[in-house]
Amino acid sequence: MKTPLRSAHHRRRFFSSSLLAIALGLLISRSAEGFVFPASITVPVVAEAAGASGEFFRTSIAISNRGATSVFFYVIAFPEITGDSVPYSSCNRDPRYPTGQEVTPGATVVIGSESFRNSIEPDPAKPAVGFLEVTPSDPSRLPDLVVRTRIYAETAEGTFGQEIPSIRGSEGFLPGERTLQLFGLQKDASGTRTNVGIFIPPSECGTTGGAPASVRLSSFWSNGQQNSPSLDIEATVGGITRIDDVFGRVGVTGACEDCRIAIFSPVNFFAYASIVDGGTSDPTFVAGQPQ
Amino acid sequence: MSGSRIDRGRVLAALFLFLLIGAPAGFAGTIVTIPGAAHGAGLNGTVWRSDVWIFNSGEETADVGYLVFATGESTCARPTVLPPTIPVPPGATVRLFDPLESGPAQGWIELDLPAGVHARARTFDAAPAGTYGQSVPVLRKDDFAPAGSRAVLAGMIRSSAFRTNLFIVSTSASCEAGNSFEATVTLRGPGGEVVGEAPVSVPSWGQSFVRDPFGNFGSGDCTGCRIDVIAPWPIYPFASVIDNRTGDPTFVSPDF
Repeated sequence: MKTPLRSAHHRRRFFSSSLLAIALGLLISRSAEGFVFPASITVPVVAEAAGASGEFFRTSIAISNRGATSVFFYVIAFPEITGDSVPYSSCNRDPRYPTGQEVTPGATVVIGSESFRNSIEPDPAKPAVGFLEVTPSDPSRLPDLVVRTRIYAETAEGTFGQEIPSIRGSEGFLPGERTLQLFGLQKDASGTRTNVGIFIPPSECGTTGGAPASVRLSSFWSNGQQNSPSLDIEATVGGITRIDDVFGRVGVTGACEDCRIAIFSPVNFFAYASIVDGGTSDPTFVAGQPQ
Repeated sequence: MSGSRIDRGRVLAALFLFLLIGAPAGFAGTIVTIPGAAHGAGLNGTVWRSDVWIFNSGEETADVGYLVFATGESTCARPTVLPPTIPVPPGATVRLFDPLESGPAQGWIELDLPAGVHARARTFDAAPAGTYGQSVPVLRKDDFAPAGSRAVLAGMIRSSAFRTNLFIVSTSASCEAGNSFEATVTLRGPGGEVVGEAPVSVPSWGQSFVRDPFGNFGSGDCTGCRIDVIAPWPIYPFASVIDNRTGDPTFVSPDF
């Protein structure tokens, strides 16, 4: 039987993993006081969960090394906060589950959501939705990592899905007190709908003390007229907040063709829409654009 | 409520005007590039279309110019004329339906965006049951890989279930090279080993299309693979990984 520490290489990995766990542990208790989180590439949403039309979504992540020497990295998964979940975001991060792996120069490691879903939701009967951080053990190696993510459903007829962008370090987050625009969004009688995700990075934990941020959603027809009262939601800081069927949520009862959602956040954030085709259930990822 | 949209007749009129006055392109605002668009049939019964959405966050109607170019052609010799424009009222979102309908089957688009105007694009397979699609980014100058840098496309698949196509778009800077230049495309297996390498001709200020690079100059099927592209001029390479069964494309952007 193989032991976890059967070679010097594995001992190195184990101790590196332990050191990272200790380092992350130190961040747990003090993150809300403004500590800088490890340099990482963020995948703002990952899932292993059933969709609204009965399909089952999984996540595949390819991590490649474009550097000249091997990179050891950790994949750390965090759950989304929902109404009935424990108050747990990356602000009070739990380092029990970092998955360490090495990628050699030019090589690509592919990780399926089955490898991290337990970190997000241990109960296989429940949906596992959250976000990931890919963190090199040596922060200076962050530029060498390339991360590509696809969330997809596999059916008897094949797969369909969407690309999820990687956010490198603090790039890609809009500063607080500004608005992101999601436009060309759809809702119709065929079942086409738009889901929205709001990701507030862990670096904002110090700003709010880990408390949720009040984020305002405003919805507009394609001609620019607002079509419902603005909706304020409490968004997770240091995590992902999802709003399924956003037009239904803000109160638009009928179709909404080429509509727009404006999202204002008091803290740094990233927002996206996922437009789900009513006929095929295929999602299309739409990144928010700063106004 | 459907709100404002550009109908097909208007697009055709704009294209006719564009053809009448001879050619591309006297843009005045910020030029952005939609690196890929299509109108035509693909493999395995796919039917490709593209749509573009334009949102005006300003307080006055914005006239957005747009031009469509064919894959494989340099546009360095484009005459300077006014492009067709789309009026976008303040606060409104206008959809440009199928802009390649009367143009090339495959190509790329330039938009002239006044201040405060934003755009996004989607290319999709119009399947009988509905659509399978991918967002296509709208690029500004900074989004192109600098000359000599290595752009990496990770997570490529070539199998009986998936195919991968490669596109390389260049900027006006490459017109100094003449009508075209060579990019080096290197295919890597999951262990980093080189499984294929080839020079690819890229039209200056144009778009190159490489169908099935792993089949054409690689070692065939490849999962968890990678494409590296290096060129002497700024480029934006991207891949589309297509499920052969559903026709669903996934856009893969470069990292550089």
